[in-house]
Amino acid sequence: MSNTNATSQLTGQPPTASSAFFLAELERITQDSQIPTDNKIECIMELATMCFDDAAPNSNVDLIAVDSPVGSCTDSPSMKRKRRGSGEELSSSPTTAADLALTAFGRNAKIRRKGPLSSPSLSTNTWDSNLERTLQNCPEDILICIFEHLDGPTLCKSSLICRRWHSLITHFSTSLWTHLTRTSYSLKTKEELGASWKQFYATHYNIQKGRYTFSSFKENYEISAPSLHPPPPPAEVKKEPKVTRKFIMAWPCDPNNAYIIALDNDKLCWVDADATTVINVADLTPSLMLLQNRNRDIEPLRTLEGHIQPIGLILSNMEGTLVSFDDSSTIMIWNLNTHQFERSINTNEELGFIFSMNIYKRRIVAGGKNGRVVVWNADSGAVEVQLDIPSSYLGSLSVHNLLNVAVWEELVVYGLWDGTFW
Amino acid sequence: MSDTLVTLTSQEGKPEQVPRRIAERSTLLKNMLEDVGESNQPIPLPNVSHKILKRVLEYCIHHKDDPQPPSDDDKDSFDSSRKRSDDIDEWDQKFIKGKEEEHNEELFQIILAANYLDIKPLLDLGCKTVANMIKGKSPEQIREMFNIENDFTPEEEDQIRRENEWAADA
Repeated sequence: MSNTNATSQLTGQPPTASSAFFLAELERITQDSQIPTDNKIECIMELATMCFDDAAPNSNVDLIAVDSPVGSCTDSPSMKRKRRGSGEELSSSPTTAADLALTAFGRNAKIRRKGPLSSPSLSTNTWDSNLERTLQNCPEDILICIFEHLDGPTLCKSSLICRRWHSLITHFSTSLWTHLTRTSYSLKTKEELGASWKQFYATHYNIQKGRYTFSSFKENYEISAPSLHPPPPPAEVKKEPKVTRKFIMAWPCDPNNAYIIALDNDKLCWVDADATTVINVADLTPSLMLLQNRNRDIEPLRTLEGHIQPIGLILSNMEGTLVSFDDSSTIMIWNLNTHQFERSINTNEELGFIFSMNIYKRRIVAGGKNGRVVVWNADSGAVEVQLDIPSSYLGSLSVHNLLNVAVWEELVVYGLWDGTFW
Repeated sequence: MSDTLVTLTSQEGKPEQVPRRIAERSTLLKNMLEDVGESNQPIPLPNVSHKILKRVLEYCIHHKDDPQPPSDDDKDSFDSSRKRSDDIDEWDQKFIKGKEEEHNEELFQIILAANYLDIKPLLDLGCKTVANMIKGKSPEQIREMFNIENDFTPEEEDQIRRENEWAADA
């Protein structure tokens, strides 16, 4: 700043730095919706005194009072900074400057919105110092702007650079990841996802990379949301849009190595491809929310053993009950809280080869290759309902086409491969 | 009216005359000029060195016919094109590259000036360029390139690394 004055005297320019500064600052104050009218007047008077000494006539202030908008509180920190930085040098008061100020206000003290990157004045003081200008002391708004241009992995890497970057990225994570997800996956939607955008991005990223990852989604991830996903490769995808609205997705990195997985609140259950008769159980701690199996196998907390044949599917009712069936059509019911085996149901008789299964509270429904759907009570092991899918529905399609069954309250739903649901 | 000349005074006090239309690429100057109306008062830019001012004006002259960037109010109507970092046009690329030996220093000063003068496309260009410099580098390389000190404890660093493991390079 002192530089400016010295040289302006040399070049014979009138020292107008104060007027421009006054104007810029004035505009900033009038625009700042956080400053209430009363404070604004105060700020501006102070500013005027600072810039023009006594030259700012009171009529100026009156004008401002009429035109400035009403807002809520606080003196601005950058104003204080300015005052400190340049107060002394800018004390001379050419009348032209005051006139300029008058013109500015006479016109109407227009209210303009500040740029999203904050008012330019925020970063000006960086220049007063002779500090080495690196990204280390780069103004935050500029850093954010840079971060907005990064891709996901680089953004993650950037939070490893230093504390400042990390806290900035964490602080602005919502907007940064929203941007990123929208750009990367061309989402036009403005709707908020229940899951965080970061998780959403992570899931997509790994689908694209064909990587196996699981991530847990919480809260209002509506059932319609999966339609946003591109259909994953022929892999096991199980979702549990249950009452708690928490479900898990599994994306096997290798379709031949399809994973079998279930989530019960904070417990994660899965079957390893190389030990297909054993169910593993682990607690899902927050740090374990995003796992990448490639680098680090999750240590199972418990294992549930009992199946003789390879397990076909495991499901939980989100209330501590896990059911599983294997290739011998045996359904096994486990208590996840005690890790105890509860009972097994041999469905061979009713269903032939078991094809699909679902559980709601303590009711289990399963569909067999023979086109029959049976509902059991998990407490007693007794058959509650048994129904055959009318052969007319099946038509010429083989029962292989029976896709899925589900039970909810008193309703049984089954879907066929061709997309029909009943 | 838009052909009137505007005098901008750089940090060193050196005046630079430009057509008003060029100066108005800067939202800061545009607003200022609108408020001031007709005036041949020089506008001091104490935060911009003469060298950088010349560079910035070079950019403004080249882009003088570009449509004004959409105002912030339209920001919600998400424009995906703005955020692509791989689509810098040739002139811009050459412009921002500047002289090899002082590339980083100058780039950073241009970014600061663009931010101060509120020239959004130039700010974007600068930030994109930095973003591209960051991509594909290890955290260590990034720190070195921008002279940033690693102030994490090893434990903290490890923790953050684990949080972001999903995106680690395969």
